[in-house]
Amino acid sequence: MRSLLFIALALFLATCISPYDLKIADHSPKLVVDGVITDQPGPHVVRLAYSAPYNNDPSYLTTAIKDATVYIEDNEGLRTMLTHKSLGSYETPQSFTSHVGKQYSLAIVLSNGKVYRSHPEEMKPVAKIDTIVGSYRELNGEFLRGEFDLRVETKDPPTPGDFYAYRWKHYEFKPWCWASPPNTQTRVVYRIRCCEGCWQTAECPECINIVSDKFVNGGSLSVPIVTIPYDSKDPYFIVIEQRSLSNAAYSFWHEVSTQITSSGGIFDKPPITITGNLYNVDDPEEQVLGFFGVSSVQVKSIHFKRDKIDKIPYSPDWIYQELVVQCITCETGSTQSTVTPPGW
Amino acid sequence: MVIRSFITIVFLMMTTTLFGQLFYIRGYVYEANSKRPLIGANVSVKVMSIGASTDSSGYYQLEVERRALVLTVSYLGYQTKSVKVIANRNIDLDIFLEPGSEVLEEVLVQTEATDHNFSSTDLGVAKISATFLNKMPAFMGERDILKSILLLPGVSTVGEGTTGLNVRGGNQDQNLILMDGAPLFNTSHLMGFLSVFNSDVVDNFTFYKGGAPANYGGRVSSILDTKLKTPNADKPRIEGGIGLVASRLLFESNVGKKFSFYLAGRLSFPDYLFRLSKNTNVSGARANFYDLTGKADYRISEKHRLTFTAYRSNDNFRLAGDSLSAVEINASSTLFNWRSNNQVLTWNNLISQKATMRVSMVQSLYRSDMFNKDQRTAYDLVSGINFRGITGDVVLTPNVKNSVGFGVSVNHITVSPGTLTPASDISPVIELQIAKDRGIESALFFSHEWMPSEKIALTYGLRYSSFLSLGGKYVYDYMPNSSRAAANIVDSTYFGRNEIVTHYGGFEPRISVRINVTRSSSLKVGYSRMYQYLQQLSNTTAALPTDRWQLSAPYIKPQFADQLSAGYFVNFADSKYEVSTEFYYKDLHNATDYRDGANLLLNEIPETGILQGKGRAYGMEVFMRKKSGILTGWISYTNSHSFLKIDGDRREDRINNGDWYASNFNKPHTLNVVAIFKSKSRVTYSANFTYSSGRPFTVPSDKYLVDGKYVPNYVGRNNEKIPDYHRLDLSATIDDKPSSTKKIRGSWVFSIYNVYGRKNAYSVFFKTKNDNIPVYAKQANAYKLSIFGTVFPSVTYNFKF
Repeated sequence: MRSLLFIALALFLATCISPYDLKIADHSPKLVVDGVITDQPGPHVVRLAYSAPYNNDPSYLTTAIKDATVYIEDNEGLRTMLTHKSLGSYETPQSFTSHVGKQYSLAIVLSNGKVYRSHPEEMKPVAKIDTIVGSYRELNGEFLRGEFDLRVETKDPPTPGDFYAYRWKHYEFKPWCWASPPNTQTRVVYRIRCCEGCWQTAECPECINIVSDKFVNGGSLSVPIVTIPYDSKDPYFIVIEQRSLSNAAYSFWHEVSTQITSSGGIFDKPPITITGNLYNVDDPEEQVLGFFGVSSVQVKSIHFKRDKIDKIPYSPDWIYQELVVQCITCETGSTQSTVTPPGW
Repeated sequence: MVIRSFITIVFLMMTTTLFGQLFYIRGYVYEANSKRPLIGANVSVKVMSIGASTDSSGYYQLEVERRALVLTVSYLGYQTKSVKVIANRNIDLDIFLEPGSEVLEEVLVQTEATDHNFSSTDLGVAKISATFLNKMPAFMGERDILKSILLLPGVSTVGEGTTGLNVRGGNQDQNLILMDGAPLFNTSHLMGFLSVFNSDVVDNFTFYKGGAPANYGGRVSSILDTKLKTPNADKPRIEGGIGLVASRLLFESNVGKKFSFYLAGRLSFPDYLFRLSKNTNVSGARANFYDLTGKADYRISEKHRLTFTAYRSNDNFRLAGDSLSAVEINASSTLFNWRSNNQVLTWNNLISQKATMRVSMVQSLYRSDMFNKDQRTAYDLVSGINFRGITGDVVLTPNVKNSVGFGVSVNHITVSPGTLTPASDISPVIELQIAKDRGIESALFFSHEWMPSEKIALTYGLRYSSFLSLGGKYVYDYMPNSSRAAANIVDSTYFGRNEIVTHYGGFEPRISVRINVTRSSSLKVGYSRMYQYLQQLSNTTAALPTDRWQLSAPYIKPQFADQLSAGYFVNFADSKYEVSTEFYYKDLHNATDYRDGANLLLNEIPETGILQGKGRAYGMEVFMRKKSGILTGWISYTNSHSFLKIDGDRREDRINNGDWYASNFNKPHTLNVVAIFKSKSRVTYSANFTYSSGRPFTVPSDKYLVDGKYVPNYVGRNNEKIPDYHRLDLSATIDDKPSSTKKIRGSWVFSIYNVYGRKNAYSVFFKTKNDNIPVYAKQANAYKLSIFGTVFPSVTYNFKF
């Protein structure tokens, strides 16, 4: 992590970070475009909003643009209209499919008549994920006794200029939809079953994991994805997406990543103005924020085995008791799902 | 510096009456036992307040009117000698000084004539001797030239723990730092905590903030000319020091009467300090270095003399974490290594009493390495500079009113911007070598110091510098009316290894005039132009040891600066106090800054990553110094401003919308107070206080959400400033009793850095909380980072035997 670098520079162990009170002057709202289309089944979403003052809540309730005309155009001139669903989200129709090798551009007409476009983005092919491998690392934590670094291995094609982005999602089957607060005296925990198949999910929406083949072109890529805990001998199920990026998209996300992980240290670059791929057709000087991306996606999932380690994972010595009164409904949300994950 | 000492001689004559018959007193000052010449010894006539210091061959010359007088000769570490002379003819007088342990403080500080402040034509020049340096507060128990220079007016730094100086609003790479004539490309150890100069062997330094004499060139902001001590032994001796962070050892000896040498080394392994930390990222870090400085002096004859200086250093620094997203290869830890290796061979020839000649051959090699040792992505990235040059100059002093110097220098420079190689069998990293940058920088120079009357003195000179960019690489053509980007390349031409790709050059006039206002005050005005053909490309706030160097090339024009300065200089109370006020205005042409989002490391086409424009800096410097007495020291105040303007034809070729913006190191107010207290006891106390306004940083104007991440949007550059900086350091040096007859003589240095433990800001940065909780989103989420946010005490023991 970049954010840890400056710490190492503090020879005298005295580096410290403290909040700093700062008043930021008013800003002028700028158009923000946030959307990606992939070769996976849709609908694909493009969000439109205005930027918010730095120290204000950028809630979509106040900044969303709900009355724009939005369409995608491919290099053969085929135009697909997007329809506004909610809070500035515009969706492609079910019939829309996109294909590797084609170029797509986004066009936006605001209600005030301003017209914005993206530079054409080509959907580049992406290599298949060869394997997902993990290496064990022992820890001396009170609870956690070890962890695995998961990596994706992929053969980069001989073409130069391949760029990748990674996402992951972890699913764990969840038999219990309710548990009593643990009683430290009796050490008894009461649990109630879920009414249907229920999965607990975890992902990292704030992570940016992008890779360039610039210095490894044609070689085998080994990309660290996530570190998973050794908290059970059961397999760990994870779905990993490998996406293609254009050169412009890679640069954009590289800058965003540099910016949001900066910690002001000696090795950190000072902030810069990030330029995306959108522009005002009549006024190229106007700053338009965000990026319209086009990616091809390869998905691979794995039940990662964690039973080869000699050390026994930590487990609390609770006594579990099932309450068979009734079942509890599995509520779908950001950390829970009733949908059987692909590849389960 | 031959030229410099002659300047000194010439202008010291100012207060002498120029009427009546004048005679020379001239000769050499020698060490009594070894008959070794003493360089920089002070020769003065108190009643006439004139003086001179001996030049690099130990030679001095004074011009006096017919009378009886007492010549006082002093040199650090030697007993002061007074000689009665009846000046009724030209007198050749050699003087032999006996070593002595007890030396008057007043003599120590005084390495130049007492009226030098107002009587010389020096504008924006500081001269400091090692003796004086040794009384300043030490950082981590170590004396350091670069840390002391930071206490002079007009000099600032980006922040603590960074390497490099910013002089009169100039960038870090605009300073030419010389060690006995060899340029240094990295002056720091331990990421800037110490400099490469070993205080045991530094004799003195002269620091030109502007208006450097015509024999210096190659950088637009400043010249720091550091001279190492000349070997000086008639029997072997050892000197050293043991400190918390670094330890030092010096061995000096002679072979016969004509040859003497020393070798001084420093070793530092503060790793144990890291291990004390509970934070794994700190305890995982490593830093260590060593350096060796050697010098040999061979006196072939009265007239010929050879000196050889060699310097070698090696630094290691390991960071936990993937420091190198810049290299776009994932790594769990990165090891940095950098090495300097310099040699200088100088031949001094005293042609006659009125002419000296000097020829120097210089080699300066610099390498920096980055390693990643993770098996799967192991790599080694090496970059470096090879600098080889030869300089010859002649100084003629036909009479006391004139001194003429001229010479030529030719340097061959090769920059290896980067070679990437896989460092394990399974590493997929491909081999990549960025084409070497090669060029020849040469100069012809002439300067004349002239004193037409008692009231007026001037130094003027002209330098013509030229740069040939050599081939061995491709030069690209870009689509007309488009910015320089890889995508806009339409054609390329390959230039062979010895073909000239392009040529730059220009005249660099230098002039400095001094006009006496009263008997102890003067007004000085100067103008200078300096060219720079080698620069460092950096997109971090402070330059890093791994930053890329770049020679001027077809799309990268040389920088040049015009500086106008003026000052008023006055001495009080028999020259016990010196006061000077200087004003300067500097115009920088072809100022370089990086393009937003540019990657400069391993970029095969560096011109795509940088933009050039204009720069300007102006300011005022006030310097008040007390030179003698129990309490000595100075107060300096600087008011300075430094701005850049990069205004290209297209939006992507502009910075800050093409408007002027503050440079990274624009700190308008700086105040330094240095006080040194020494009574009759063995203890010397010193204190320094420093205050400066915060440097600029960039604040976002708004923020936006993309793919679930809040991103701050920065529109301007450097539009706010971080909190002000201030710090107090104290130190006490306890020397052995002067009368001590012990074989080993020792001294203790106790020092405290940042006495009141202020958490000074290095930077202010922004972090948007990405957890979608509105209470966080409503805050500005600005944070302050302090690097030395605590009191740091240290102790060092120095010894000699």
